[in-house]
Amino acid sequence: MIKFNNFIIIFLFFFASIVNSYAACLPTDFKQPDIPIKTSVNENLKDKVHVWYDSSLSMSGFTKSQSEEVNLFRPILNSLQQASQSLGTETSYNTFGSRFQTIDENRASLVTTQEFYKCNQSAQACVAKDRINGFSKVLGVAKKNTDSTIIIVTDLFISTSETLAKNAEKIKKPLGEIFNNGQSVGIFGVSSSYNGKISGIPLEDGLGYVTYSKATKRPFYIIVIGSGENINFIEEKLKKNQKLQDAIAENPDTYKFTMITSNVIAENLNTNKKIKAKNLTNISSQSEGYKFEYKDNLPIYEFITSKSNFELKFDNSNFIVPGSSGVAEYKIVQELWSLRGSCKKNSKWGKSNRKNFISVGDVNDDTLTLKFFEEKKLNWGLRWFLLAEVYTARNGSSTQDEFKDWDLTDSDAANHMQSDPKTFKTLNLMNIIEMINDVANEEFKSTKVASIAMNFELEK
Amino acid sequence: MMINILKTLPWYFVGLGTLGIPAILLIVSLLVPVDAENYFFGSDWVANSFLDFAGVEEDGQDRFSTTSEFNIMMAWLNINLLIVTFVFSLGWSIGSHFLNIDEPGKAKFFGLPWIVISALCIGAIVVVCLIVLTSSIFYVSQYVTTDSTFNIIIISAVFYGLMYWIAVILGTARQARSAVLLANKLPARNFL
Repeated sequence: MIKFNNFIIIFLFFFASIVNSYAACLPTDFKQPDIPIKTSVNENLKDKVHVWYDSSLSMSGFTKSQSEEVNLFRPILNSLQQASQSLGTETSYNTFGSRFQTIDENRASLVTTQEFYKCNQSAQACVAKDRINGFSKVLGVAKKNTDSTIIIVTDLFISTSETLAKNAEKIKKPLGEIFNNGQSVGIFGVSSSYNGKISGIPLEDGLGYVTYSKATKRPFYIIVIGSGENINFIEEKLKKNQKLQDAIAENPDTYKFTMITSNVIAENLNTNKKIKAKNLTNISSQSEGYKFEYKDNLPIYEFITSKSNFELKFDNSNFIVPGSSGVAEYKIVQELWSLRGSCKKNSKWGKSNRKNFISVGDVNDDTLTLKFFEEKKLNWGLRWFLLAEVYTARNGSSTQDEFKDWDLTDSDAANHMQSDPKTFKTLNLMNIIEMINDVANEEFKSTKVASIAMNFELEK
Repeated sequence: MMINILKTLPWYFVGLGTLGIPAILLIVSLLVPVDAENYFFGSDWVANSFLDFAGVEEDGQDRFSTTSEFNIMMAWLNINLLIVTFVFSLGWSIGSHFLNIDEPGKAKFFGLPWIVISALCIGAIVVVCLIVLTSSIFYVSQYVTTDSTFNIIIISAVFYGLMYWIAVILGTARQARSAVLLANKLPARNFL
């Protein structure tokens, strides 16, 4: 019995030595990289939702039937109301434009009717109020509710004066804080039938404003401020609307969408252990000495190879916010160590001063490809340990250019009106979208996408 | 014939030793553990001449241990070159007796085998250098640049080629006077 116990102790000692040998096979000056803490997606999905309706008079044109064109305002707003209910624990409804106030559910249910937009003041006062969009005020409220999702329904018909100097700052400042808090802005544009009066169109000589009532079609916008996931949630719900699907099938330009964000990374690949053995594409997991395991959320590939270069591939959909502008440039913090001889405890690893041994493949692909040692090959006969930390360096260009077709500049407004258009464009649309995009780029923060380690023996 | 061959050997070894002894000293100096304070034995002067220390440091490898491995590689290179030179020079010193060069009318035929054997000797020296410096036997060979590899081959070919030539001159001059090209032109031929 004593002999058997001794045998067990010896066995356990050797087993522990074998298990511990891996831990010993790391460079002594290697520091475990910081990995973002796991966050629950569901928590983000269940926040408060604040819906803001543009109550300006010109919005009422979307509620009236128009025989020539399909009305998408009503079905889309119904879908939006359902989506906002599903999105948050609590939904509040508000109006801006001519009236800046909170409304109850009964009043909100009238948003697709003319009654909702009725102005009880004098006609002159109503027209004057109608020229002020009040978009900046809503953004001011949005910046204070960083844990909420803000949904704005508007014709986004913003006067030039609202996009200049101090007024522009009133839009930019809250947007800066919104992006700084890691929130995104989703802009949905839907071209719907229109039967109303568009006011606030600047005259060519700049001496006043006129109205236009011959338009049968006009785009309205839903602006969602919140997390990328929530914006995508709204998009999915809206796209399921049958009437919208039919309209898109008939004319793809009916619907446009762009997401502007300062951070396009949905989640770090390490956080939920999304880096797998298969991501290392040209080293077989069946090869001799192959091992893949996580050490405190850091994936370590261990293998023996005679290949001088290899590739890691990650599906963009695993970490980039869907529908966002993506990443135009990555930055890779890279460290390399070498060891001559077998990997034992107290092995003396040497820190290599090689630079830029990892390059990134085409960023326009659907995958992020990391190419190792493509330019300068490593020397064989050594064990190598590398740590790669991938960060975003620049966000991609957003799909904002899609909206250019619907943009009407101040100088073109009078000419556009004189051509008696059936489809009326949106004043200063690109000014606003570009302003949002510029602020997002200003607030860009480099985000860590992944941390990966490799421990391999290179043979000739 | 056998007597003539045996008479050949002492002079042959004298010839081989003229450069063979420095070669052996070099091999010994390379095999002695590296010590920074030593000037010749166990020093890093050979590594300093041929090793790409910038590449060594770029890889994070230790200068001292890499020098040790390089010295071992160079020692093995010289041991192999010495063996090659010994085999070819002894082979010609003995083999040339069978050509009966001293017999009338035979001398004119020795030139061709001499050139072939000598070319094979130089070729073998180059091949040994290439095997040691470019194959996977010694990992440290990766830190020898192409220029340094070329220099080592040239220096080895000249040094061991000269060793071969001196060995066969002394080894064959007395018993087969014209078995080495240009040996009969040497001013000291009457003393051999």
